[in-house]
Amino acid sequence: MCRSSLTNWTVGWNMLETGGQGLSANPTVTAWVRFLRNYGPIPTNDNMYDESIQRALRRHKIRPITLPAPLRDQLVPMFKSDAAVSHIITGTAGDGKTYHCREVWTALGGDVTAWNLGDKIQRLAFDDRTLVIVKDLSELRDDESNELIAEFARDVADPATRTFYLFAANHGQLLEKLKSAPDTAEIVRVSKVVEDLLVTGITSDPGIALELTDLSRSPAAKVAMAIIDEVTRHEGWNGCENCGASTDGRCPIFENRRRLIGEGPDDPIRQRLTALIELSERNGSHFPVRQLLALVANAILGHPDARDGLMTCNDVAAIQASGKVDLASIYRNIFGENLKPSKAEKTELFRKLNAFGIGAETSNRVDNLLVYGADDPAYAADYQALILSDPVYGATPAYATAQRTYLEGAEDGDRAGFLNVLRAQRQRLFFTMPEDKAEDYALWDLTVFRYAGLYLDVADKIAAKQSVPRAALNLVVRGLNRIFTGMLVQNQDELVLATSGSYSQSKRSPLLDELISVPRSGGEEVAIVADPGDGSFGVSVKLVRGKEIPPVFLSLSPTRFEFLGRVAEGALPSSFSLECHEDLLAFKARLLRQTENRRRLDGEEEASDGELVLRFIDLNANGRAQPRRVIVRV
Amino acid sequence: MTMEILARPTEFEDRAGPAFWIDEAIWGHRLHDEQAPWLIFLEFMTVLLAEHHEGRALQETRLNSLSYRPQLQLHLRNLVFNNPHVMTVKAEARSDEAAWTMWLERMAESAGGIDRPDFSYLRERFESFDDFAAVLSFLQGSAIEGTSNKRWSSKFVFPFGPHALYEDVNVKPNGSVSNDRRFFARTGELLYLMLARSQHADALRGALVSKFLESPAPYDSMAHALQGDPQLARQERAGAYLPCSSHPIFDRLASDWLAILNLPIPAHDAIPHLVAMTGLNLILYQLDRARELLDRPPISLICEIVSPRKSVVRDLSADSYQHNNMLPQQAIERFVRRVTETDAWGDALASDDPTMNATDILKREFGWPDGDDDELVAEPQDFVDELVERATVRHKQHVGKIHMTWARAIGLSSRRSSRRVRYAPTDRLLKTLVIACVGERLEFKDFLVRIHERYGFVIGDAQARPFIDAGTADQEDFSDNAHRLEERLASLGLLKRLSDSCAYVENPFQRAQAA
Repeated sequence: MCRSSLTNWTVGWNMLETGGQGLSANPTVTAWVRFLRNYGPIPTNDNMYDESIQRALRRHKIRPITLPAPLRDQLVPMFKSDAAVSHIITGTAGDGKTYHCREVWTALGGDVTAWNLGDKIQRLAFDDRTLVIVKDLSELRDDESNELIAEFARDVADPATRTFYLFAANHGQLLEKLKSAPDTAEIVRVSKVVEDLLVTGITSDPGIALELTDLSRSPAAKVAMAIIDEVTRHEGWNGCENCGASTDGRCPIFENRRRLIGEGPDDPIRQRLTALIELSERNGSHFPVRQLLALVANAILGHPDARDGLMTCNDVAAIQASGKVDLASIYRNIFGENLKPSKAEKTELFRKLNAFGIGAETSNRVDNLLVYGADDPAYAADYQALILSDPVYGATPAYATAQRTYLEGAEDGDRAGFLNVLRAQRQRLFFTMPEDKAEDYALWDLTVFRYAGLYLDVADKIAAKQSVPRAALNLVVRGLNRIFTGMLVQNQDELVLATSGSYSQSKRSPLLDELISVPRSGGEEVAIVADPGDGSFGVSVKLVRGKEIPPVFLSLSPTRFEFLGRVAEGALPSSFSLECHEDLLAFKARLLRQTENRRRLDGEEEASDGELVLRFIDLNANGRAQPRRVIVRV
Repeated sequence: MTMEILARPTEFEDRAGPAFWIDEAIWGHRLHDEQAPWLIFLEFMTVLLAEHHEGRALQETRLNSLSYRPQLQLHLRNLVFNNPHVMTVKAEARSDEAAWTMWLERMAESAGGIDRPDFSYLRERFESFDDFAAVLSFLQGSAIEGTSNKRWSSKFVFPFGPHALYEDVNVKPNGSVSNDRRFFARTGELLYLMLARSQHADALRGALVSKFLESPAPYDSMAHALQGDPQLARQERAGAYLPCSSHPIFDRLASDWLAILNLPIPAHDAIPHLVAMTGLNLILYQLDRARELLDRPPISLICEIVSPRKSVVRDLSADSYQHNNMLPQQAIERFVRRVTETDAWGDALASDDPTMNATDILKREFGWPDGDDDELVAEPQDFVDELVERATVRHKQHVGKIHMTWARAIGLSSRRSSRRVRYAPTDRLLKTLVIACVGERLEFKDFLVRIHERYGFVIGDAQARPFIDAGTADQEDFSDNAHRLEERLASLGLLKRLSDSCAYVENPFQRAQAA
């Protein structure tokens, strides 16, 4: 990320606890670790709000954590310009709304002291205009907000207005406030616009001068890396390396931080974590800044035996003495395995990450390595490189013992113990497998999303405007064909558009509508292209040369891509089917409408002079779908 | 306020009719469990088609005077469902010519219910026997419940259009065709009457006739080609009876149908949704009439959104199912016994001949005993007990199973990972609810309110207030339940979440329209 071009926003640390340092630990590090711990998934977690961070910063001399905040640079000149437009900032709690309001206030000449007095509605006059800032709409009593919203509704509809607004609120509060305001025509109109902007991002009412930024749509993978950098390289760690606990090389806090810093930006752990967050976001699960902070804090400090599952420096000695350092593995902590299962399940962050099934999913090759690798000469080199080389979380005594007991014929109880160790090892391998071995060991088989590697490859190629791997397109086309027809067809150089003849929810579609060429031919083309709306991509089906019929587009989320991949391969996991099957049938219905459209434009509409022409799909010996014409005379 | 029960129609004396008029008086003649919601829809369509030909679709000239002549289409049905020769002929015959000849001979012998069967007209309609076979196989593949083991005369081709609609009949080996009301047991007639008596009858007529009858899918001509000219039943079908001239559920059913029919989707895609909403509203109609008779609070259905583990909501949902399941039977008993609370009954008992006078009342009210019943008991109270007994036995055979059968058929109830049946709607039903109840989009909270108000579904904590206040459940139990629904809808593409506190339920078809 290019740091210099971005302004930064501040994440302060709330000094809630101090003191009680361990004998050997560095006191400033101990204090810092305590602050960091407060960002983890613990019950008393009230330092998420800009307000309290500001208070903490005033009380303590802490260098603020700085994160990129491009929105401020966009808003400040906009409010000064001739094209000023009222703006609503929304997002999930912890996305940085209040921060942006304060920054705009100060950048436009507002007085920080006045801001800090905490008026709920702040008015700032500059040049020929007035800016009304409300940093949290939900703080207003209904009578206050009703009046304000009425003014707001009038002004945004008035092209000549000199009063502009900057409101912040999370989604629910914003709608609540608009709903509870009186039902005047102006408010109803503006409410509709806000709703449209929230849900679709566009509005069909050009008469309302209003923009909306949803901070929850900013790319979390980048933010996560920025947070990791800021947290792991914060000067609060200064002296950590000299601490007695880490000189023997086994302080889990030191170890986890070291691993998270990694060896450069291409370190597998960063790549894989970025990949997981990105896949999750492309599947529609957002990670607000708050959750990313919690993730980083938990990854570094997690251990099941510590209070609330998060260590302080003082816990380290006891953990080392108990020989359970391996349970602090950062690779487990990323999935919240340091927490009680019920707690992890209730924490949205870990629910999202655990949706990947990492630890439970596996491949034969990985499990062979983990179970027999110690004795199998064929695996010796890899066993050395991937397991033995990591004495802290890899080839631990616990792992070696469990493996031995298992191989020598364990009782049932021990077997369960080994399975738990195995789970931790799979998680570790997912984050540590070097790129050059990833393909060999089918890295993504360690997740539910077995085609995620291919998916991310396509995403990269699309972003770099390079051509998409042919294998991806073949996979998508074959998957689509099988769903469109309900038959195990092999065609991948043409799209087999079929109908059931009855209703489109029907699973089998024996009637051929059209065969659409995948390589460009006669105006037809099926390709994987970038989604013009956002950064994602999808499959686009072109039917004609000109623009008379726009291409039909299906956005490909990781889940849909996985579904198509599994169908193309022949095996269909039932857990996926409901989510995606109907989406794809809806896509088919859109295609069918457009092919009908094309026939009408071409003047090819079937003249039904007492004759019905049907094209049934026949499968030949190679599994290719071929049309078979049948004429019925009435 | 007394419950509306229209007079029993007298002009269509039906000797095979019910022995007493109890289930019928409460719910109509008649609801029948073996008629699955799909078959209700098909029967409805045959009535609609017949009445449309008479120029009076969804219009009742006089209450309960419906009499219509449905299509029979026996050629079509023999070809699609009573024609085991195609495969063997294709295997044996050496030429196309031979195939036709061989098949025509065999078919002439085996076709049922047709005098002097002659299918030779088909030869000029198809270019080859193989083409003909392909069309048959297509129609079999798209048949409604095509894989069921029902008799051939109770199987139905997909309702592509007017030529594909016909009534359920019994074809005896001797060739006689009778309408035995086995699977078209008049529930479709009741549906027809409900919609005809709803506030939206006019709008519905327009939508249904234009979508299903006047602009049929091209595939309807397959049915046309196979059948030839339409064939009507010999006699009119009369005797349908619906006990109320209006009912809020009729209006709601009709508005659900209209909402679905007005979606920008092909007419045939709407059918599964119409079927599901029909099943749901008819279940609620049955429960609501029972509730009214028993003077109970409004019906509620506690729905578990299936969770991996056993939960309080699962138990409450099973209790709620059980409670509702018993209502119709309780209503039967109440309906009979309440006659003994009338002044007339008191007068009869006080009269010179209590037995005769009480019997007269029972005859008048319930059509029982009908005279040739000579096992007469002495005491009037014994008569009542006897009638309750008999009515209950009969009720349990069919009408009493409706809640159970249809709830499962439409995906409302389930026994998944439990031994007790409970309300646990399937994804398919949830989708239907969304497209029927959500115009463009609706906040999730409001969606929960709406399906509670309309159908009595209890899913979230706000709707479960009475149970939470009574201490049978925690708020968290139901808010978790609502949360699971939110996640299910999101995974079905029916919900867009903006943040943890705010989500919209979206009608996917309206959204596609806007895009």
